[in-house]
Amino acid sequence: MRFIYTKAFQRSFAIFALVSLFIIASLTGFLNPVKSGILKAYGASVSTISDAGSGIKTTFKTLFLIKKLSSENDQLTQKVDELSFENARLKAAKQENAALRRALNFEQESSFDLIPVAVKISDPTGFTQTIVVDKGRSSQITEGSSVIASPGLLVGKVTRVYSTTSEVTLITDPSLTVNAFVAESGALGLLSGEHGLSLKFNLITHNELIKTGDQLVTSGLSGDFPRGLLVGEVSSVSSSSSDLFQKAYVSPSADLRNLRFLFVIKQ
Amino acid sequence: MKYLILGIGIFILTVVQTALAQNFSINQVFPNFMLMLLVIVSIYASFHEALAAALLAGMLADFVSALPDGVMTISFLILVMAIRLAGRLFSEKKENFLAQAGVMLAAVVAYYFLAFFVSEIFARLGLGASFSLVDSLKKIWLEAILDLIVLYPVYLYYLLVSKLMLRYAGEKSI
Repeated sequence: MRFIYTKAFQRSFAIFALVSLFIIASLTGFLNPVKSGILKAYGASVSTISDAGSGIKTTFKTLFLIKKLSSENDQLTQKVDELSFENARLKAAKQENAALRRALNFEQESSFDLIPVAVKISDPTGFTQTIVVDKGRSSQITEGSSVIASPGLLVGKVTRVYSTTSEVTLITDPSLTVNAFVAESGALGLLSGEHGLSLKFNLITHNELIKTGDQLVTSGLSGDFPRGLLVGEVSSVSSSSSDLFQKAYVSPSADLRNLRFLFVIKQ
Repeated sequence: MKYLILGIGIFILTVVQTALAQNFSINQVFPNFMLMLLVIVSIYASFHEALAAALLAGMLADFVSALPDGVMTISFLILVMAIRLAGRLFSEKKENFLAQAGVMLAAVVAYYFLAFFVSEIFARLGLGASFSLVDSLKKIWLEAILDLIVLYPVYLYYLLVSKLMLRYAGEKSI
């Protein structure tokens, strides 16, 4: 038993005790105020450097893209015209829809109650696709709430809430699955993250029609996400007769690499 | 005082890593400054300093990552001890940059596997969720290249922190 008096043993025991204490304190929630404080200080420091970095990035981007701007402007003008027409058509359809709903005594489509949040940090370990936002329990954010970018593009889900900050898992994280359907054909399937870059749309039966460019919208089936949020666009389809289901790769509609301001849907 | 300066040094490096990752990542991959610092500290600093660095970096990484608290701390501690053990084999080659790069590449691979196995143990004990090792390994080569690029700047940063530790704590670090 003499070994317990050796320095090596005492040192190892001290480290073991410290790590165990850290894990237990974290599990019991005792560390939450410390964690929240560190996340706040860390987020503020990261934002300061990140904003400077973002400025440099934008300057270089503009210098490189200046040549393309003219042709891009023409394309965008054309796109605006097309979208204006589409918008007018949709407005008319919405009015018609509302009139029909009234006639059928349906409930009016409810609009979301949104909490604006700012992105503070992303997971520096790179093992998970998560971000930390600047509002938490004190702003009535709850675990499981959906997070969207401004026009209704799904970004992720709140997975942990602290007093003044919250952790959001992005849709590109493999641990998150989203029930979605193809807006064009109505084909249902399950979306999950793929290498943190894109999304995989799985479990689509062979009789469903799915093609590149199709848009995917949340179905609201599992209750995890409200129905009607735009998730992404089909970038490629993989279909083989030997496979039980079709598979499609989807690029997220929200720019998940440049997230700044988001909205949490109040539950 | 010595460990406070080391802690501040680690904090600043992690902040820079996160800020750069948010703006300049390539396919969601970015250099791991924290890991590079640990590799350098394990090779050049004393055992106590290496352990302190692993504890501080690990706890900070646990706080800011979505993995269960403790995963990064344990992974970093094991990694530092492994590098120290391996370091005995090439003690004469400490100043050799190729040897450093070799240790760094081995550390990157070991780090991925360690983090996965520790998080898997946590997941099996019901203490949190694990992550996909396959998905992570697909980007390991890119991270290794980026880590190799930042290895020397991080080494210079460590020299700066060491000088500060020497000046304010009056203890020799390297």
